[in-house]
Amino acid sequence: MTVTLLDKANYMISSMARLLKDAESAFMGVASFLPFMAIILAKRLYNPDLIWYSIVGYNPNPKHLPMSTVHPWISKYCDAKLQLAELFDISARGELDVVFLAGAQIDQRGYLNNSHIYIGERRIQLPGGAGGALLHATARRPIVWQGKHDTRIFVKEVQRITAAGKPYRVFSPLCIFRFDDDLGRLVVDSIHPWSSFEEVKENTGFEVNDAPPTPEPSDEEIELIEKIDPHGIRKTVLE
Amino acid sequence: MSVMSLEEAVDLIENGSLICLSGNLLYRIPAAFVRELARQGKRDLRVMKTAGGYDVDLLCGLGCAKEIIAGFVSFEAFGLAKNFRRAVEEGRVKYSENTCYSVIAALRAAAYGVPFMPIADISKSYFVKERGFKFVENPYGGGKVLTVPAIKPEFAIIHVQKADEDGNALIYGPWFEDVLMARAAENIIITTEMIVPKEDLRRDIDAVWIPSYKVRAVVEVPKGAYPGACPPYYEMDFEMMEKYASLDEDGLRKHIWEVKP
Repeated sequence: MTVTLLDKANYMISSMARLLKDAESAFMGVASFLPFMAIILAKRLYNPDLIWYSIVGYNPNPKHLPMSTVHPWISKYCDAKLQLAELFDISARGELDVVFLAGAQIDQRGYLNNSHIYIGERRIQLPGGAGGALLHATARRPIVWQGKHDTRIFVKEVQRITAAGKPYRVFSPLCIFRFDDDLGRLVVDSIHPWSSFEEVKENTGFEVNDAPPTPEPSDEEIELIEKIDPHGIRKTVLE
Repeated sequence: MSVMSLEEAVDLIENGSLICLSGNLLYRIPAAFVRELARQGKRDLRVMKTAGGYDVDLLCGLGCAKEIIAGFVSFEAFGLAKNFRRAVEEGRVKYSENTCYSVIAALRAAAYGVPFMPIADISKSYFVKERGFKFVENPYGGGKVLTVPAIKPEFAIIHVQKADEDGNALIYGPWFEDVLMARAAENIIITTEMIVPKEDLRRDIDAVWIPSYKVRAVVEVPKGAYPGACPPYYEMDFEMMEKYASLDEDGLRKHIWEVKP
C-alpha cells in the first residue's frame, strides 16, 4: 500500500470529523489545519448544528482551508462576533465541549508540553502553549493531535506540564489513543492501516497495546476534503 | 489633539517600560512602531501580549526587550520565532510564560481596578508556580480559588484601521485583547492606517471602542502593520515573512532601516 501524506491527513481528518457527530461545540486555534477541516467536514456531513468557536468569531463558514486558521478574514463569514477572551470564558464556565490541542510532547496521562524541552543540558525553547492550559483543564472533551510520532514526542512523562487535562482522543500519524479511566492513562484505540503495533510500540515512550485498524475515510469525505483544500495545505503538518 | 510623528511617539516610551502590543500573531500588529523602538535603540522593555509574532521576535532579536509576558510566540505558518527563541535560550530575555487566559486575567484585573483576578484552576501547569499565582480562600465558601495579580501596562500600543485626531479609534474585525488593554493601560498610543475627520468616524460609531481620554499620541502610519496583515486593507506579505524568518542579527539590523516606516 503506497500511502501519501495526503492519504494520512485524510484518515486523521475523517476520524476527527466522525468524533464530532455527537458534539455540541468545538474550538480550534492557531496552525490547526486538520481540526479546521474536520470541523467543516462534521458540519457539512454529520452534524449541521455543531457550534464552531473560532478566535475570530462565532460559527465561521469558510469555503476553503486558509494558510492561517485564525486569519481575520474568516470573521467576515461568522454568525456573530466573539472575542478571543470570551472564548476562554466559555471554556472556564464548562460550556465548551470539544477543543483541539497540539502537543510538542505528550505523555501517557495526556498532559502536554509546549513550553521547553531539554536535550541533555541544552534547553530548547518552544512557543508556549497559547490557550492550552485553560482549555485542556476545562473543556469537556479535549482532542489532542500531533503530526509526528516518535519516542521524543510520546513520552512517559512530559518534562514540563504546560497543559494538564484528560484527552478524549489523541491523534498521531500512526494511531489514535483514547484515555482509559480504569488505567488512568492513554491506550491505543486504533492503528492506522499503514502502521502496525510494532511500529507504534517502537515509537512510543510508554506501554502500548494492539488495536484494530482505523476505519478508512469514505469517498464522500475525501471528495469534500479535496474541495476544501485543493492545494493540499493539510499535508504540511504531517511527517 | 495628540497627532505626532512616529519618532515623537516612540520617544514617549522610556527604557524599562512595560508595554503591551495590539493584534495577534501577524494580524494588526504595531509593526512600524516596533521597528522605530528598535531604530531608537530602546532597552530593557517588558513586553506583554497573549500571542506574539514578528513584533515580539524583533524586539528580542535587537536587544530591546528584557522580558516577554505572553502565552505564545510564533509565526504560525512561517515556523518558529527564531530570534525570540535564541534570546530566551541564551538568557538575554526572560520569557514569563503564561497561558493566554492568564495574560487576559492580569489585564482584566488592571482594567477593573482590582488587585487580582480569580481564574479557573490551571494549577497543574508548571508556570503557575513560576509566575507565583496564588490560591486564596473563597470568602463566600466553596474552597480555594486560583488568582492572577493585576498587571498594569504603562503603555498600550494599538494599531487600528481608523482614528480621529484625538485618538478615538475604530477596529474592524477581531479586537483580540486590544480594547481590554486600552482599559488596563495607563497610557495609549494609537498608530492608525489613516486619521479621519470626526464625522467619518461617527458614521462607523459601532466599531469605535477606544475612547481618546488616555491616548497620548496618534500617529498616522499607512501599512503600519506591515509585514503583518491589516484587514480589510492589506494581506500579510508572505515573501517578506519568509525572508524575515531567515534573517540573522545583522540582517535584522538592516531590516529595520530598509522597511520604513
